[in-house]
Amino acid sequence: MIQFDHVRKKYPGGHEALKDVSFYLSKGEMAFLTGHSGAGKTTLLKLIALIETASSGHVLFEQQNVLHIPLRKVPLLRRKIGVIFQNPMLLGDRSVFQNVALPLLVSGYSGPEISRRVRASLDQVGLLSREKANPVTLSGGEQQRVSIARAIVSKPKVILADEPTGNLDPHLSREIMDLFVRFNSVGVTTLIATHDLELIKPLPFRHLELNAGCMNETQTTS
Amino acid sequence: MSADYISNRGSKPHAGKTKRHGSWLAKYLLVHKLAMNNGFERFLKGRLGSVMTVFVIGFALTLPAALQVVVKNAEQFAPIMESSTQITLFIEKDVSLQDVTTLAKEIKLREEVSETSFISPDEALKEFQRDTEIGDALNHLSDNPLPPVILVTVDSQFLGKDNINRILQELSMLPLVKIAQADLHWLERLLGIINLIKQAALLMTIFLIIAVIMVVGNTIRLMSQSYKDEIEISKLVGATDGFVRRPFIYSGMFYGFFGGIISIIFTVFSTSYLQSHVANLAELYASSFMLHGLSFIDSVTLIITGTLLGFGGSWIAVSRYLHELNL
Ligand SMILES: Nc1ncnc2c1ncn2[C@@H]1O[C@H](COP(=O)(O)OP(=O)(O)O)[C@@H](O)[C@H]1O
Ligand SMILES: [Mg+2]
Repeated sequence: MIQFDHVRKKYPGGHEALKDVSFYLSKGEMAFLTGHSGAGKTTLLKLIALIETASSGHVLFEQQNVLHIPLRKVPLLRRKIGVIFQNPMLLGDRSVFQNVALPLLVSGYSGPEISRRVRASLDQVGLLSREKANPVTLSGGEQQRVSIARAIVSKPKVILADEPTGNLDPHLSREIMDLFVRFNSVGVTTLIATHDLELIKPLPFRHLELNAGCMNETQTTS
Repeated sequence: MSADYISNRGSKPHAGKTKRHGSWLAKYLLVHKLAMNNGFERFLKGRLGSVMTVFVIGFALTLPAALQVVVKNAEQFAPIMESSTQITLFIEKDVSLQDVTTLAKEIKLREEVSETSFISPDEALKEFQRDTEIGDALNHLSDNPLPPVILVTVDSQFLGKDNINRILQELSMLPLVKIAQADLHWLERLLGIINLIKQAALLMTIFLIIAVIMVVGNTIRLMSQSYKDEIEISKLVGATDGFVRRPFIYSGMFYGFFGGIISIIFTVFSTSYLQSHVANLAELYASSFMLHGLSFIDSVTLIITGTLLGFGGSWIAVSRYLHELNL
């Protein structure tokens, strides 16, 4: 599903965030992307969704080199990926419902189909009762769950989550992690960046460890 | 709802969509309807800023529109002036009054002449004294220096410079006539001025078109900056540039559209203001003269022009913004 082949990413400032990264994530697999702060986790996820582009090496999504995707087809790639960003990135001038509906609007859905899917998605994260609320009135954990609902609303093939439990207490963190496990159990390829090793220790998934921009892929499958 | 909700790929986006909206066209129209509503919302959110932009566009479009009206009316003037062209015949000085009156009557019989009138040297002197200051000086002359004059009005059927020149030549050959004069120069001057105004209008139109595009562009640029988060998030969840651009383009078109309406109001207002002044002038010439305001076609053109300029300005602004955003 996702493959990195000697990927290097150098930011315009000259900083080399990724030096040499190779790994493979098969369809339906779930894995954790670990590494200390600044190791390049966010950068790696951005390369998959084409928010950034690799300086050299190959990033493949469904066997296709993402760099060969023409600019106008990039939106189609992004619609296959549900991204949960480090901060929830919600729109404060819209209701929870409207925030979650955005990916559907963007890909041309309308009316009843949108309502149905948004409600189903909010139900998944346990926030169906808050659909009319403004996101700024929600707690940090609830906001993060809204952003998860938004990521899954268009039924993506892949979920990428960037430290989704970053600033949540252990209890909430576990709940969120359970959500991802649940999504993965129905076949969604899932890659979660985190530095909370305690949280993920009991979970039977591969760890892809980034170390100062390098990936020594440990093929320890469960 | 169970976890397998998310794996329910039974209704893939495309399958679901075609079933729901029936056709490609219906979907297209819906997308545009949503973008248009969205664009209008953003336009309204601009409040005072939107009003000011609309007025700036309105003023900018009024200038060329008003010039267009002036040109159209001035052109309408030209044939009237030609048709009312008068020829002044200066008669030899020592001819008797009776001979001159007879001559005037004879000239009036010609088919190209509609009217003649005779001004005797005494009448001419009186008029001269009334109208000018040097009139007093003439009092001290023992002899009236002014010649008798016959004013010949050319019939309106004989328009045009060529006709006038021919009649002029014929009249000047008549015995007793010393000089025959028709002031054609001012007609040429008028046409020259009209032409100049046309050129100026064209130039001004080009400048103002650029100005309107820049005004709309700037407004939409500021607007898109204030929607930065929404644009970014939309693009990250798979929005095309077109999807992001569309509402802004509609906003821009609303600016142009309302600007066009404002300019119609301004132009109609200024034309009717001028109407009263022109009425006096028109009386001096032919009663058929009417000030032509903005026609229906002109009005529609103004609105379409405004809307198209709004489209252009916003398109440039949002496209540049999206390019800078580089997402
Ligand atoms: N847009 C950017 N421009 C320049 N340097 C960046 C940019 N984004 C991240 N970096 C740098 O790249 C390195 C890796 O960052 P990041 O991928 O965010 O790491 P992580 O998510 O693991 O903390 C850091 O040193 C960071 O300063
Ligand atoms: Mg990070």
